[in-house]
Amino acid sequence: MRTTFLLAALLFAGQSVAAPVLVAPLVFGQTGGTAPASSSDDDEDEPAKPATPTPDKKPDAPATPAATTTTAPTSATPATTTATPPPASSDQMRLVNGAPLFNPNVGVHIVEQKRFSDSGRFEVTLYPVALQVNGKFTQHFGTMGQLTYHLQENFGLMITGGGNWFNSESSLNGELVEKARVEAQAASSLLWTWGVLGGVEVTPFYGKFAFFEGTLAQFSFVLNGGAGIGGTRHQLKPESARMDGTISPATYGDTGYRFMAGLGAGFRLQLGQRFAFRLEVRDVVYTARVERVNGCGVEDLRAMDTALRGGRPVSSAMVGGSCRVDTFDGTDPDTGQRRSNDVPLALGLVRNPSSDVLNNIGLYAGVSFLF
Amino acid sequence: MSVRNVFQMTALSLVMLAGSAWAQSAEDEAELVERVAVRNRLYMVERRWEVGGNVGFTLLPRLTDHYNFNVSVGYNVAEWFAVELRAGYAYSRQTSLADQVKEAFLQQMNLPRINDFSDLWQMSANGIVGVRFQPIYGKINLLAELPVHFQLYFWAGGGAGLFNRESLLICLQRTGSGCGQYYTETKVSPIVSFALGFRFFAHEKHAVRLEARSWSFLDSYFVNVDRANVSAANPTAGGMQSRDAGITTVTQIDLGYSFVF
Repeated sequence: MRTTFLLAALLFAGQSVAAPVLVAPLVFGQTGGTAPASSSDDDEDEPAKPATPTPDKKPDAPATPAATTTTAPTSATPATTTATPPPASSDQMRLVNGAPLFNPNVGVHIVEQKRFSDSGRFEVTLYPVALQVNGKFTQHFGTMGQLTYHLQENFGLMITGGGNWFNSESSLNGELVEKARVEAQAASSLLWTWGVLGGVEVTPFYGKFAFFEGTLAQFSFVLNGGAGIGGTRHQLKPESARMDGTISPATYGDTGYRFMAGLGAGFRLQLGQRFAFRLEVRDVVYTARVERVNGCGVEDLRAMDTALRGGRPVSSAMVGGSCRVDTFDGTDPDTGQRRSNDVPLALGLVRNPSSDVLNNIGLYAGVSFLF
Repeated sequence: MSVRNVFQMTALSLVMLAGSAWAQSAEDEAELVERVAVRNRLYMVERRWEVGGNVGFTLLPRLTDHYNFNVSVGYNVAEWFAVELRAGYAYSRQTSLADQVKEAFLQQMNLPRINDFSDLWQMSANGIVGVRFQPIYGKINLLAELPVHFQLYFWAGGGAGLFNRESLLICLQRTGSGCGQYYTETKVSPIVSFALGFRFFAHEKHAVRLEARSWSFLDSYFVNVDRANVSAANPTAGGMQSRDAGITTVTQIDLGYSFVF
């Protein structure tokens, strides 16, 4: 949602500055060639460009001394050549990437080409912290990685994956259970444990900015989308306090794989030729319908529940081949309780299956290495 | 609340880290453009006043939802620093989830003691003053031709607000299977606010703002209320204020406009 508003704001601002105003031109070079000066908006109109096509620069290629080039006439030239400007100093005639250096109307010179080319390069990104920002009933913290191959300057293929090392029901859900004996539907509180998604990434525009008055940095706006699979689980027993005051941790049941799709947007800040910072917001969407817990369906769990009620072990129940009975057998070393206590809880989840489409919106902050 | 704090700290840390990290890589470019590229900004705001308006909506409504309408007056002390006063009114309400909890609890007759929910205070009138740290000025090349100038800023400040609260669980007057009146409270409380956002310059005097803003205020609620003895005359029925109520943080996305004199 924030991305939508960001784009809307950018489009609004962009349209408002789309009408340049021509001003008197400057004289460039010693050969008498003329060119329109920058517009009042600043350097969006390139004041001087060689008449011949400029070959693609290599990364880190030295700037071409454009002060000696003769500019090609443009449609604006006849209207502006009648006003002869005062002779420009050598400093004013000096160009940086096509923009006059000492022109007071020039703010931050427009980015004409990137200093570092991404085309044909791999980029490995580590997101040490990916945190969910829309957790109503769930809360996730994870670590993600991404490998991107930049097919072109602004288009690449990517594969991203990782795990949520913290995935738990939110404090709100705990409060609902504790204070009002209500809780979210099983599907709405499904937890995402790991995922792998492949897709594409585009960089529709890029820019640069100044920090205080001294340094410049280049960044690009990235959009990515992909699809893949991920693992899910659901809380069975909530965290609780033991008689001795210690905490008995929550227990969870594996609810299987889910098809997942993701969309993301963010900024990529280039730091030299090899490194970049990334700050992105990603929305991972997946369907949630809890039908099996640890591979056991409702009939399996009913059979185990019946066995328990009859005083028999869960392993004596007749269950399907996919049902992992051992996950409900024995004693859980973390809680110190019998795992079979989870059987009625799991049965409660699958007895009345609920479904939902979950959006896990996360903030991804990462560092990239390009090679 | 902790997640939002982590969000804010992460974003701030990245901006700060980036500021120092790119310095080295930009040295060679700095030799080319020297100081001109950053000195001659197209839109200068230093020593200029500005007025504006903002509309904020809650990023993640849980039990309450806020729509905050603010007007602002600011003075740009320097290009990178400004002082701003904001005042306004937040239209707030309880969410549908809160309504569901109310209905469900009325059916729960086996809970004799009530521990009310946290984070139910709703902000109405509010006023804050703060500083805006705006060291980053840049431009983007939108759709290849459209230049957009912007400032990235961090805002911090505080003030006070008027708050009201309606309990989800303490029903003062039962009406059949429903509740005719819930326990309500009103208070004035201090507010702390942080924001991270962009100002997009459309013109020398006009800017569009987009920011993520947090509003933090003290929470309070009653616990251990004797449900059977609750009445309009005795609404808290032996209950007491929770000792670990903590702080409520409402995170909003703000859209705004500024006119710079």
